[in-house]
Amino acid sequence: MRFGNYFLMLALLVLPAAGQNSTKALHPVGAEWPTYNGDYSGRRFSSLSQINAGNVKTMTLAWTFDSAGAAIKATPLMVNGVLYFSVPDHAWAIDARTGRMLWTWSNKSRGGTHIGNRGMAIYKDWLFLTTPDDYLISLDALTGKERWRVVIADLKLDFFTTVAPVVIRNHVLVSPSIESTDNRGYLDSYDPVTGKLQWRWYATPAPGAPGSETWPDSDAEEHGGGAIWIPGTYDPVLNLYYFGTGNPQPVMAGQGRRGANYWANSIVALNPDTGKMKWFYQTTPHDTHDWDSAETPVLFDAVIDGKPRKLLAQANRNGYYFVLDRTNGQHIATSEFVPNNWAKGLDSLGRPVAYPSKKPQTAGALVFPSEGGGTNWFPPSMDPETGLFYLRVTRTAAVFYLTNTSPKPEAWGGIDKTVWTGPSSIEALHAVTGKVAWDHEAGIGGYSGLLTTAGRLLFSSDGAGNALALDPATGRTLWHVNLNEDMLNGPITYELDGRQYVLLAAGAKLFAFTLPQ
Amino acid sequence: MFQKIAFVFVITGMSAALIGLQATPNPALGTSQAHPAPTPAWMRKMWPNMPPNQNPAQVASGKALFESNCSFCHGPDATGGNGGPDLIRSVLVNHDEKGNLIGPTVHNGRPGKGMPPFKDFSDAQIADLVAFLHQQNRNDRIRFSYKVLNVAVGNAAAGKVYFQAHCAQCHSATGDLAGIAKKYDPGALQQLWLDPGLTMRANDTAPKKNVTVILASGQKFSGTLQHADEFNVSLYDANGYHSFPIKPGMSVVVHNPLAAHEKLLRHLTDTDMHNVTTYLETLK
Repeated sequence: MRFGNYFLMLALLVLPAAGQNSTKALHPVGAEWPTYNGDYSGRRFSSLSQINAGNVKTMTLAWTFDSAGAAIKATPLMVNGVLYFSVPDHAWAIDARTGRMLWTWSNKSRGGTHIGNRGMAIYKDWLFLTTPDDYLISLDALTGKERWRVVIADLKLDFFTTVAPVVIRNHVLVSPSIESTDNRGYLDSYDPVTGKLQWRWYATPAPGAPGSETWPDSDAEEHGGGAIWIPGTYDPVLNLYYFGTGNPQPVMAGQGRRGANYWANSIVALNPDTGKMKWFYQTTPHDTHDWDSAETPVLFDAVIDGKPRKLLAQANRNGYYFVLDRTNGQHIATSEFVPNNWAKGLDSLGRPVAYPSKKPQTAGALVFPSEGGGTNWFPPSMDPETGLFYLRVTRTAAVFYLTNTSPKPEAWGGIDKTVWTGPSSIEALHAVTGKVAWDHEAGIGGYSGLLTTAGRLLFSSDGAGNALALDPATGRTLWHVNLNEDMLNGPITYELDGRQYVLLAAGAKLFAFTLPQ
Repeated sequence: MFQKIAFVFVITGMSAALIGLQATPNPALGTSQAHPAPTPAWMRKMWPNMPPNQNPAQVASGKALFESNCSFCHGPDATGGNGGPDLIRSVLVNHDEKGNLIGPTVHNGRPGKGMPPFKDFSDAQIADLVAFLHQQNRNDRIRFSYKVLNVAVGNAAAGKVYFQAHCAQCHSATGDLAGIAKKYDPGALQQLWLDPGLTMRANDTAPKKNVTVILASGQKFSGTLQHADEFNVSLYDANGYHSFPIKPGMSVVVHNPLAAHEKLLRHLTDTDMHNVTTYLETLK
């Protein structure tokens, strides 16, 4: 799709400043990092510029902190001079100036898949986090003591929870993940004071409700999946919360769930006060490759053909980049960012149309990309000054086998076996069209998130344990340090006492960089 | 054409010159990168709530009992049938601990829902049924236990033609590949020829990548690649270990002996893939 003329403008969020931590997320992220993505837009673009392209080569280590636990996948929060971060079953508060630990908290686990924890949320002086054994827990931010905990999902049905909660006004939004058992995915809103459930939005329709026509029967839709794996983004003017839903269940065997399977593999816009869905856009109809559409839906504004538009972009696990109008879900653009061979083209709504032969087959179907996808949960970034959308691209191919041919398979019903893993990249796409602007190879592993700043810097990492600062306009490397461990979380930046810090996690350690005094 | 920043080196084959896959699965990307299959210890750590493997004798007895008494309503695989619900997804079955919930339900039935009581089942029979259900549940959920079905569905003669055109430069059906089908089951054989490196690294028989480094001075080093990234390349040669920072004017050329296999994947159709596997299956 061609555009006459477009330019980007930073979404202006003009709101009164308030003491409450939840409203800090409404402003473009700057001195603090009060929510998972820094602010509600999901751009992970910091307005700080003390550290910039001119002086980043002089960046030096300010402090390190060794949590001596699991690898950190959480994006830390930084509020009022304190950093808060988590791994499954553990949380820490550390002094953001010195890295000294203030308190730590642990959960005695009942089980659940311990794949990672994406981080915490803060509201007033209360923190919120989830555990693999499906608790939503609120801690006192000052002391780390538990205020309350509530069960959000049935551990025995294979649910586990990794998501970082997102607070919007008095709503704590969380969602469990689905491992294997065929469950219905959902998003919950809880009261931050009491932990009481306010509403629940299910990712599949209730029997007979609109959308049921995309499922063969009520049993299929009541076990249809659509887990919401990643925190969403929020537009306060439209009052819409945006997030993606995961794959339908059973994962790789679709014969028992013929139909498009709404609203699995969808970008969804929902009112956070009522839990009612406003619109959705399905990115992979009737998915059989486990390509969760859960990736961060990044919000930005642009002028297209002379008209200002409010946009949403998602770099999807299925290897396609989607741009939508975030007011109504109208399709704007779709483009490819990795080699893929599973779709013959796009339909009239800009959705990829799958080759039937590339669904899992008993004798195997060779598919680019593998189940892991062309990108995954790693937080992307969008820089309104360059107009580019940045993501970590993974390049893979796998043979997808259908192992259960019965009319009613369960759980996975198939398996994929990787046959190629190529070098990943940090890649820049023109945000409105998805056209690739530059591609910076980054090896295999160390799939961390991205951060851009007004200092004309892009922070990320590669598969050899190198922390990187790149020029966001060209992808050229400006700074690196070899931390010799995979960086697996989203880097953040913050400012205290007039001093900017860049914070990375490598393995179980945090590294804070700053300019020499 | 967009600006592509690949590392200084020229690479033969698609793979970058980096160390191989991790030995343990990377859950961040889904476990499809996990080969060979994960160890029981890894699986216990990853899925602590999965029912453990049950006593095989009990499972076998339970399966027989289930088929005679339960499958009419609940389906032969316990995934639901004529009016009886799916027991794999069942809240009750998933909450059951050693029969504490399943036992009473079998004994008493569910009068309001059309399930008759089975009062004559002994404790041992109940235990067998419970073992069967928990094993079914586990088998359905752990995808690494899934068996790949028949892969040799292609045309062996066509596979042989493809082999002559694309593989015979390096391989011989009567030479290095003689009897290959006796050594691997068909599913493993297909994976082996598509991605030999994975299986070979597991057996520690993978050929090493070679690298030639020419410094800006013109000095040349050739040897076994140890590591390469954007900033450093290192190798072993006859004189020992060498490590170089990547600098402008340097050339780094990596040769991957398995590159031809990666190249195949770009253009391989599923038909060709099945044909070649079927042909290789004849090499017994």
